[in-house]
Amino acid sequence: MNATHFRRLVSLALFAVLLIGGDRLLGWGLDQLTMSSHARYSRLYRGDEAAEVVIIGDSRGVHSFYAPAIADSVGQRTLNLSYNGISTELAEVVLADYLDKNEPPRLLVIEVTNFASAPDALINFKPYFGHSARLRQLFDREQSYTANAMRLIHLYRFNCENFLRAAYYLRRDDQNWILRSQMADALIGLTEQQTPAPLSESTYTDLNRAALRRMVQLADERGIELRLVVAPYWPAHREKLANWPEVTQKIRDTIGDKHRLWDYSLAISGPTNFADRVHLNLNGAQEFCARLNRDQFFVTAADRQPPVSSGAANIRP
Amino acid sequence: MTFNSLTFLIFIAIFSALYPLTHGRSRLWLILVSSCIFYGWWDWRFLLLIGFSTTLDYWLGWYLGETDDPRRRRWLLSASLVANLGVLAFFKYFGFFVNSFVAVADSFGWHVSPPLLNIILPVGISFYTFQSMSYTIDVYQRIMPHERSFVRYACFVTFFPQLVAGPIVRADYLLPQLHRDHPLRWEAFLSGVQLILWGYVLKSVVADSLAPVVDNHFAAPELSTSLGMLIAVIFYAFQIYGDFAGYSLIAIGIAEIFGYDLGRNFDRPYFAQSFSEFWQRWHISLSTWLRDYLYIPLGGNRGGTWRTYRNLMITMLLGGLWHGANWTFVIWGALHGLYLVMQRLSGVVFPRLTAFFSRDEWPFQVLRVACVFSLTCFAWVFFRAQSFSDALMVLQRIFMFDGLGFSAVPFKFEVVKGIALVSTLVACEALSFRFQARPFFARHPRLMGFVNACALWLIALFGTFTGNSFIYFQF
Repeated sequence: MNATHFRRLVSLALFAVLLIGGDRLLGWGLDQLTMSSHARYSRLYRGDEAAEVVIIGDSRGVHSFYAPAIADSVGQRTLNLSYNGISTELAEVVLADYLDKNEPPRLLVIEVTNFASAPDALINFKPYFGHSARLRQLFDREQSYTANAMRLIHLYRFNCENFLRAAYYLRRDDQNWILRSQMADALIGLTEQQTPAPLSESTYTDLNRAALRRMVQLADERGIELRLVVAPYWPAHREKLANWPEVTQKIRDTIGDKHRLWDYSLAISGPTNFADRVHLNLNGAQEFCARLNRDQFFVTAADRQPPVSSGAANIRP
Repeated sequence: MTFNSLTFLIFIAIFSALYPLTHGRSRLWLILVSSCIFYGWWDWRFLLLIGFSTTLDYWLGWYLGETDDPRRRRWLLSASLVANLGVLAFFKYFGFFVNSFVAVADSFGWHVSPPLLNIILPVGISFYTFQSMSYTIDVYQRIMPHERSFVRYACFVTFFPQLVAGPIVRADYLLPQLHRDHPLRWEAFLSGVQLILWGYVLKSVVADSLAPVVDNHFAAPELSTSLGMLIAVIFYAFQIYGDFAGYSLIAIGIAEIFGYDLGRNFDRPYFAQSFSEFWQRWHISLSTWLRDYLYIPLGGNRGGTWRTYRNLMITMLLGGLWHGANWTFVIWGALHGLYLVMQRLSGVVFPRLTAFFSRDEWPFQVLRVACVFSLTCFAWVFFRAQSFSDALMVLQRIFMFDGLGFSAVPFKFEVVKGIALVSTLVACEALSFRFQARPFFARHPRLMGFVNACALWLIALFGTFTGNSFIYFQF
């Protein structure tokens, strides 16, 4: 080997050191940034949250339960942990991690239509890969290439929407994340013309059903009161889901007799309340919150019990 | 096999290992066999077509080179043009011509039911057909001698870095390079790797990050707001640029590592201050091909004003049709033809106004760039839309001005990320007008290492790894 070759080899080695060292250093910096954010999962994995009402679901959970409105009307700290497209399996991981790292809530609300979601949204949980053994396990099972890439390249963990959200919510609360647009007239027209079709049975995977069962079990074991709910759909769309009775029956079979399924699928109407066929907007979420209050949805069994000795026991901060 | 696939990484690793072991003829065979594997990976049947085209043009070129009889030479050239354009017309435009004929017949009340053929469009057919045709035309015009080695000629047509999506390299440019062995040089390796890296940044970071936003809006334009649709159109302009310029850079970089120069295919097109300048910066290999083999043979600007306008329109219409068998591409080409004509016409009709707007002060330059970019985006609407009615719907949504709030725009985080990436790209390109990156990094190779590391970190952080195909493969 002559001097030129040696110099080139050294250059390549130095380049590799720079590449890997830079990756680790930048990765560490981005992790610090992510974990100091007010984004919902940064709060979850940082720990020490003490929400009294916790909500979990997919995008329908995000846009149907407006945490600031619920907190105002109920007077309890509310944390919405829903995220676009998360499957029940992923929701189970979120719930279990939340309960491990934070105070258990008094009331857990699960929007159950994520029953039908594939685990694709897992990709957006990459920034928290280093903070949860359960997430790592799920990644290893569902997306092993991604999991290995994240172990090799730390910067790759931040290549997803949740990192962008963490950066955006660095100095602001993410609980007011909600759709504010109104359903387009064209979409209303399209829905009217839509022919009735069943929700595909294949999307209701056994894995999701088993996960929902375990979530219910976990809440019961921890003594957390549970609300299993179906959030509103645009009524014309919901009426065209041909197998809706069978779908809800399947959910009821999964959660068992002990728990009630609060079906609000037709509870809200009017185009000003919807952003699209399956999502409420801010107006709709506020109206839905009022409806839930009228139904005493957020009142737990503990709230109904009369004070035992002194009122002080029931005072919550 | 695409440049952004794992299969290609394995392929190029094997090719790189074998390349230094070969010389002369064995190297040509290595390039040819590798190119056939690369191309046949899509569908082995495509090899039959490219084999036919290559063999035919090789023999026609041979006879063209060997004979001096003008009639015979004209006949041989015609045979090459008819065969190449015939193959292109059959595989790419058969359905288009038949459907257009049926539509016209229907409008006259004649109901015809023509035979329907399920023809597969071979990848890159438009590119290698043009490349192969340029050879016979050049030999006919005695710009270059005919190639005696079939293997070398086949290497020229099938050279894998530029086979499926260009650049369309002329025979007189690439064939002489295939006549000599290129030793692997460290400097060429570094320079090639840098081009490849920035190609991947353009493709994987810029183009593929913009794609979901664009696809979402163009899939259902009637559901988009004005602002959302406008963002989608501007993003598409950068998506197609990132995609195609990225591919070209990767192709040029791969060729450079092995000692071949494919020329330049893009040169910061969205900084063009006129449409003629735009076409000197966008898809340079195609625009020069069209200029030299279509516009100039039609008469160019030699036959007076109106003949020049006619030639421009014909060239751009056919350039549009070259991109795809759809009227939307024809309209895209017609719009660019019209822009070029209007640009020339404005100097004649409004000489003082044109002179005023042609001033060198920077606000006028910015205004010209903005005008050219806006009209280019307008034309991209037709290029991207699935049909003419979809394109009209896109324009209707934009000009309704009914949803100008950002809150109604879906994929907000993707949009913000896209805006950041596009702004960075524009800033880097603007900077490159003042700062020549390549000579600078040639003087400071250590800094080049740092820049390459940045490119890799950028790909890890913002790259899209879903194996999105390159847009120009469909052409």
